Amino acid sequence: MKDTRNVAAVAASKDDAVLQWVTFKLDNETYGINVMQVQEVLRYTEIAPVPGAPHYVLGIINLRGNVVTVIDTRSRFGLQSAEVDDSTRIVIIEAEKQVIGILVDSVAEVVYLRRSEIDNAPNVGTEESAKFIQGVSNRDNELLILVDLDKLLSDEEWAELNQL
Amino acid sequence: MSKSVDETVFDFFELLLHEDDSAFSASPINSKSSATSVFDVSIKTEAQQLNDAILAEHERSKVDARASTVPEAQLARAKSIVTVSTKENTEPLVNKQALERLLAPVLKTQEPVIAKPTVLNEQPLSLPKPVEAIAVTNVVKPADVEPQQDEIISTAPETQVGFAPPSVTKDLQEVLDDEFQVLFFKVAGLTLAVPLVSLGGIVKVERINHIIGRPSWFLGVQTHREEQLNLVDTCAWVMPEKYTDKLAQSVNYQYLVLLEGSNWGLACESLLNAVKIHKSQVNWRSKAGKRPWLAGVVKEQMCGILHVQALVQMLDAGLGCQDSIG
Repeated sequence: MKDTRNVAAVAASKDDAVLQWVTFKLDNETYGINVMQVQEVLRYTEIAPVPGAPHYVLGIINLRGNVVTVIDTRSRFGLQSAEVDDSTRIVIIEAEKQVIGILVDSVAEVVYLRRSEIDNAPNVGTEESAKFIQGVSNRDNELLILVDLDKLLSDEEWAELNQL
Repeated sequence: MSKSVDETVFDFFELLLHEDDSAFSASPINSKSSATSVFDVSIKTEAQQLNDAILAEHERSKVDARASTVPEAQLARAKSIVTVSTKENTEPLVNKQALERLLAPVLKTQEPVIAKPTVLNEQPLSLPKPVEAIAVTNVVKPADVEPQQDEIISTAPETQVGFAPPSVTKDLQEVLDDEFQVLFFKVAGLTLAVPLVSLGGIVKVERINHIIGRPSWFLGVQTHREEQLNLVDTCAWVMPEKYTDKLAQSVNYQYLVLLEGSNWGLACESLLNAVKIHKSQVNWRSKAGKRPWLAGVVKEQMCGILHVQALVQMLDAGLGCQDSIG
């Protein structure tokens, strides 16, 4: 009987796994991305524009000899553009087997969340950007919006990005 | 601003008026004006019929007044028009047409639901013949057509009296006692009412988190007691056609009216009061229309009363105010 309880408890804890999220700010809202997809966080550096690139591409940067495409996250999220300032960061992430950078207003912290602490986002979105959000979580009376980086771009857009 | 407020209130009221038009023919609603007298004439006493007929002819006489200012040939033609229309038994239709014309700019997104002449055939109006003579001869003063239409229309809202057993709001009415309390709240000059039994609570607007990719009427999410409330930009949802950038900037949401059995909250600018009203004080919707979220109109306050259950269904489905459920 006791063994059964232990097995159930272990199974429950496995289901309720703790995930780490890197949080960043965009337009006064806090977003989180899976820490496993984050490679590094860079201070803003000059981004070289690429002629003929899609509108959601800000340009490219040279990261230790590798060319990394930087995405305009605000544009992608349907937010108005903002001036670059001292807290602006480029978060280097890996998604869909590609390494890209996303420009954010600032990077905040790494938070730990149990799977059970993640709620579904309001399912009323019809716009394309609605699918970026995989859930929301309430932390200290602040809402954390969890972003699914794999869905940040469509399959075609990922392919297009790969060919830049 | 005050003009837009009036327009808004009027829009709401005429909306119900318009959508209930066809229902009046089947429901025993009493009416005082010529605009609706034709529909319920069969159930009225003779005295009421006479009264209505006189009122109708009074209105018609104002229209005919214009004819008196023109040469006799035109007057004769006007008389013949009046005679023809009388023969066709369409005097009330004149008012309905005028009503339709006036409301056309407001109701451009709706299909006009005007009572058909066939209804008249089913319930023939028996106007006293002497009144017809008054209509032609009782020429008093000249008047323009447009103001005349305004006068006709201005009487229309006053006809919203009586109590019709509704069909589409039956579920709501079954929940409500004969006397029930409603809370009135205000958004951009528009007053709305919500039955207290359908009220989930009142919460002050605090930190609203904006979620990307949501409809424009989705204000965002606010945390309340460790749960997320989905906030509706009520003004944007209820009257999207009037929700300009200027109006959006002027709206100052203060409270959230939570909808029972959901995590939806309607943002509002102010809470007015909660009063007890009788079911008969509401002109309930009796016909399914484009706005299932609207249960009817509270006659005294002249404001819409919400059908919360339908509203929640619509919001859950991400529908706008003029979309139909399912």
